[in-house]
Order: sequence, then structure tokens, then C-alpha cells
Amino acid sequence: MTHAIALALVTAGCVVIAASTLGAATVRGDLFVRLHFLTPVTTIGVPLLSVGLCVESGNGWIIAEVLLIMAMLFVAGPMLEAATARAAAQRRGLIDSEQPE
Amino acid sequence: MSGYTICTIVLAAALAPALLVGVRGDPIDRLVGLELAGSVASALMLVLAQVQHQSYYLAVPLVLVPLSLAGTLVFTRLLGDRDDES
Repeated sequence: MTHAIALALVTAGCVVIAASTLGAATVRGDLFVRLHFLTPVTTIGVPLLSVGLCVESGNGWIIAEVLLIMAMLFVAGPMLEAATARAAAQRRGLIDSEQPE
Repeated sequence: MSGYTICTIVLAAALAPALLVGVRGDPIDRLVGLELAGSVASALMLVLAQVQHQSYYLAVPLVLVPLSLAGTLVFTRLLGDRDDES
């Protein structure tokens, strides 16, 4: 039963990640549209996958390591998306090049 | 073939669209592909550690995630200049 739950979670995470990358490659539109496909990978896909791996593993150290990686990705994904969007807006002259204080 | 092996193959295949985004368009467009590829590669290594039953494979995403974050932030800083200034 535990194995089935873990496999279902990991599969769901993989499907979200694959769908996001496919969407980013095939979407018609500019950079700001494509950027929306970046965050689901780190905020939905990887957490589902990580929880599944934790359920499967049962080893405390591995669980801690996987959760640490998940937490870093969870924070890094939206941060990188915002930084990329800001760089693109600066590049197109939509906002000032000065960094926020 | 176990379910985890299939998940590994799916994630490895998901790297292809990310790399495709990474070779098309402007530098800032390609940066999106780099970010996607870094995230997918981290997820791939997580699942690969489970498939191979090698817990030390987890050291790779543990290092890759902060390096990818720092590297991409440097790229956004460098690419953020206006077109007419560069």
C-alpha cells in the first residue's frame, strides 16, 4: 500500500514536470507567457515527487535530504522567475534599470 | 521495468523540451530553458537515487540547486541591461 501511494505521488510529480516543460516549449507567446510554466515544476511537481520518495524511503537521513532539496527548489523557483521577468522588463525598457532599494 | 524507472525515463525525456527552449530565441528567452533544465535535472537525480538505491546520488541535486540559483541570478543581472546600452 505504501509503495502504491509513493509511486502515485512520484508519477503525479513527473507528469506535472513533463507537462510544464512541454508547455514551455510549445506555447505561443512571448517570454512572459513562457515564464508561467517555470514555477509549477518547483512548486507542484518537485514537492509531489519528493513526498512520494519520502514515503517510499522511510530512512530518516534520506527524508531530511530530500525535503531540504525540495525546500530549496520551492524557494528558488519563484525567485528565479521573478528575477528573470524583471531582467526581461529592464531589457525591453518597460521598467527602470535601477535596482530596487 | 518498475514504475520508478518509467518516471526516470519521463523526466529524462522532459529535459529535451527544456533544452529546446534553451537554444531558441533571445538570451533572456534561453535563460528560461536553463532554469527549466536545472529544475528538471534536480528532480531526475532525486528519482534516479531511488531507482539505483544509491542515497549518495542525492548530493548532486543538493549542490546543483544552490549553484543553479546563484548562476541564474548572475545571468539575470548581466542580461538585465537595456538593449541600447549593450
